[in-house]
Amino acid sequence: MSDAARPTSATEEHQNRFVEENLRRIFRQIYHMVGNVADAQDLTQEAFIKALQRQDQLKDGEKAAHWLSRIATNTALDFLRRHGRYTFCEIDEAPEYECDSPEDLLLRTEQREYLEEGLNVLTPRERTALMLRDVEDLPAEEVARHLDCSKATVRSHIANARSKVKKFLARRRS
Amino acid sequence: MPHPSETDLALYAGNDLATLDRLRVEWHLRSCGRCQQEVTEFSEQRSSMKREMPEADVDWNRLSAEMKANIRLGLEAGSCIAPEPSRRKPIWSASPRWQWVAAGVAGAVLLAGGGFWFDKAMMVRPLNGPSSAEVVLAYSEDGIQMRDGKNIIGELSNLRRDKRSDVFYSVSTQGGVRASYVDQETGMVTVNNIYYGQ
Repeated sequence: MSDAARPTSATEEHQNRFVEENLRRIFRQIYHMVGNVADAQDLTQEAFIKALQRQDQLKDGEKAAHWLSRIATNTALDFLRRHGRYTFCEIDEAPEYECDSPEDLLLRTEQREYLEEGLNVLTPRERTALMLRDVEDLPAEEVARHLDCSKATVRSHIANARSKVKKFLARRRS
Repeated sequence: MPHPSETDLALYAGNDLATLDRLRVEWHLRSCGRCQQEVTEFSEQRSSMKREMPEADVDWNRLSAEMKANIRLGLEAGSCIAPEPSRRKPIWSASPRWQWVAAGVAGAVLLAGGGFWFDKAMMVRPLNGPSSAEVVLAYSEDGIQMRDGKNIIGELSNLRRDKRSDVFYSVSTQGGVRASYVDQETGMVTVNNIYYGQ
């Protein structure tokens, strides 16, 4: 690497702090979008590398965090467009509550399976909007910024996603 | 009173409706059990999704250490292939407007080169080519250059955009140098000629 391209130790320290402060949040966000650890790990790394290569955007801490979230959303969205299906590879390994009875465990496993199948009927953008709004609890305005579209479009994605999942679950349970 | 649309009920359940629409739906819900039931189902689905959405069951310390190392590696690999900061941006990476200007200039150069070649090709010239021993025709990655001693008397910059594509150089018996290459994207062949004649 040339000396000009090598980051200074101050820059490197700033980058490390930025990664440390945001890694868990971004991993969780991407994991909820793609549904498995291996892909979430790859995409998280990719999102951070993309963000850190544009150092000029990282000066303002809060803006940088939002900007990173958008990069993460777009990276995961591109992946979903290419790969389509949503798979919770770790669904059986998800932590259980000690107080769960065998019946509760069975019900919970069944619900997760239904949920996974329900998410597969959504388009990548609907799925992303639903995850960001209903699981990550981001306000609709923020989801719109992530998806780079209007608030009206995001509302439409969210409403479609909720309706589709509801219909799917009703069919599945009947 | 007409029922609100399913879209409105789905948005109402998540508090995503604009104020006026929310008030309209609320007014309707006071007297409609069926729509109340719909809203309850949407609300329960939201809570269930949040509750049931599994968290990754991983050893976070190990995973985060691995990701941090990979991010650092990725950044270092990226900076190895990044262009030198002081280097001027190539014209083909400029804005689309400048790309059009560059394409126009390139076209003009090609036309002039072609005309020049045509003119010279039609001339009857001795086979031994340039008579001056000091005139040198040279080619490089950047194009073709004709030098008379230290003076550059002719130059044709390489117009290819992709350095990876192969350029075929040939020296003609008439004392000219020809460079041709195939654009990998379009399949178009570009030929650059430079001649020196009496």
